[in-house]
Amino acid sequence: MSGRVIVITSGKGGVGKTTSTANIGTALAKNGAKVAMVDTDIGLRNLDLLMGLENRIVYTLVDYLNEKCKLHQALVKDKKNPNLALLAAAQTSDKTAVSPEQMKDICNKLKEDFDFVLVDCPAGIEQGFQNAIAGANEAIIVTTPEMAAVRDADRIIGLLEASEEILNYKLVLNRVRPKMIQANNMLSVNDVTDILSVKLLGVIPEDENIIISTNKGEPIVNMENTKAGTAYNNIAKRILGEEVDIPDFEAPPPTFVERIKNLFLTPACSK
Amino acid sequence: MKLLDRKITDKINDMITDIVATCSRILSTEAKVDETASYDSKDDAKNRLKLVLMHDRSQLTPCQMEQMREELLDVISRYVEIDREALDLCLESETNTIALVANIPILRAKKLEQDETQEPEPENTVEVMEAEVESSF
Repeated sequence: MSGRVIVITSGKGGVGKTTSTANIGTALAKNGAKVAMVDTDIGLRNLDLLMGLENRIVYTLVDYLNEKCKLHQALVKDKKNPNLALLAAAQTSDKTAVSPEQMKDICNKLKEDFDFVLVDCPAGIEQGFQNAIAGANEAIIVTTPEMAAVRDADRIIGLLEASEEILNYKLVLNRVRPKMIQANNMLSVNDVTDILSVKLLGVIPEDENIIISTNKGEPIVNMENTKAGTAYNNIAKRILGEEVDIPDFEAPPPTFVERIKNLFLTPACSK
Repeated sequence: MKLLDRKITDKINDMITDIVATCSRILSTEAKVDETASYDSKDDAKNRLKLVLMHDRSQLTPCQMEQMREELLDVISRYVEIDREALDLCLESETNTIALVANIPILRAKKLEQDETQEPEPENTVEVMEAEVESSF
């Protein structure tokens, strides 16, 4: 078996890389895929927190590299889904503890046993970034409709294009506020994809439930009927090759009159 | 008595200010003003982003831009007399390409040594020469 290795990156910090990794990973596993998530943010690990696995980590990526354990020992199984595993970053080392060659080696080993290897990349474009992309063939760029995040995403796209290993990359636009877009006070989905000239993988609307899910250590895709959870589930389906439409966040919501019109028109049309 | 009167009037005053404050809070147009007065700030963001990304992508430092400007001026002034201060050199973007656009006001043609038969242009005419160098990044 040879799985797909996807790096989740953004350039700027705090745009939702780790949240996206946790949710896309969980959603892929829920769809039946075997998934390994690798946290490469050495020294500032957080993926274990979002997954609620912080108390189960015995060995880390750096322990494996220092031959203190076997790779399967360092992989922590998810609480709910046996198809999902996490390789945590070391909290006490720094980014120089890993080299791109070592990361490549880990990814190659993991993709023998897993359908998907999701690499959570640290912020920045220095060695941590180079490590994270070393073993990957695909990339997901996470950004928000804010100027600084878009600018950094553009820089990342430039670096990904220069990399020979990354064969394709797509964009996830996070924290979209439909109302602000409709009031022309936020860059729209089309604005961002135009500026970056990049293909869109999904759009995540701003959702307070994300904070609740982080507090609980439970990815939002496990919460029923949340806007962000549904969006992440759809992203997982798209990665698996299913065609799921991206909802239009730019169109103003139907007015009261339109809604009443629809109410009368729909049964008439269905006849 | 007077003291008591004052206390009462003070209280009434307080009450009135309270009522006025509450009323103005209820009737406040602040939220509405925010929505109606706010112009399309996303257009600002988009334009500023486009400009900054163009410079990022060209990988030219401001120093290099300035050097290029000086060198361009030197070359052009060998042929025509130009207003060095008015030269406007900037990057513009179209779909997927970045263009280097120079706007160079010409004061007059220079009398070239090889070409002495050429009529000198009348003084003070200002022409604009536009050069566009396109390249895709």
